Amino acid sequence: MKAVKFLLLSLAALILSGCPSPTAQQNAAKASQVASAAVVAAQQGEITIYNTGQQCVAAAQSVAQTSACIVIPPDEHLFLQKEFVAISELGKTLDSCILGSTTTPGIVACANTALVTVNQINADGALALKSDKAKTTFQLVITSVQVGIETIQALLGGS
Amino acid sequence: MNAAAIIALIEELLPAVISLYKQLAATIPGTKPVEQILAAADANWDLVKAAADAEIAKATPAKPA
Repeated sequence: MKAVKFLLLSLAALILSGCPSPTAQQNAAKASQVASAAVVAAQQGEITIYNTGQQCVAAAQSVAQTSACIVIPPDEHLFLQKEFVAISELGKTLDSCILGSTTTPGIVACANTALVTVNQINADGALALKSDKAKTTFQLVITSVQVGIETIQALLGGS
Repeated sequence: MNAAAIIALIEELLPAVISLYKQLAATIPGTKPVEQILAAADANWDLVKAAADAEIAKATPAKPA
């Protein structure tokens, strides 16, 4: 997963460094937008995988067919969606913080605070999720958000 | 996480995310006002919450009238 994170962070840095002289606030805002778009895509992916798995189980006519289905258990799907709500709230809080911060240290503080919350959400998911698919999807979401926040920190020189 | 899960991630989800990063590279002007960029981000977060709420509602049994 670190390779995935590095790839996404590199992509984000390339995107943002190619823009003409943006302010710290603009860079932070763009990183948040990239992260939000990535989370939208990951959430839609999780819902598709969940629905496809449920349809596969419903259509299966043998134990072998059922075991071949890629399934996210309903309770883990529900947990993931609740985490998506928490992440969306975190994203809006981060955006509001960025909008209200006119200094680089202020924006870095926004990012640092958000990262603490993401890490807590990540720890909760590690404890609650058991299926490989649910864990993988959750890791992609967490990585997307972490990359967005760490891009802000990297561009603004924070940590 | 096992190797199969990582392969599934790459095959099913990562291309969509990378595609989005590339699209965003072309669509976010460097001088766009912060308010507009953050409004677009907030719109995405609203989409995430709306989709999650819909999935949670589907998974929650209706209360008897």
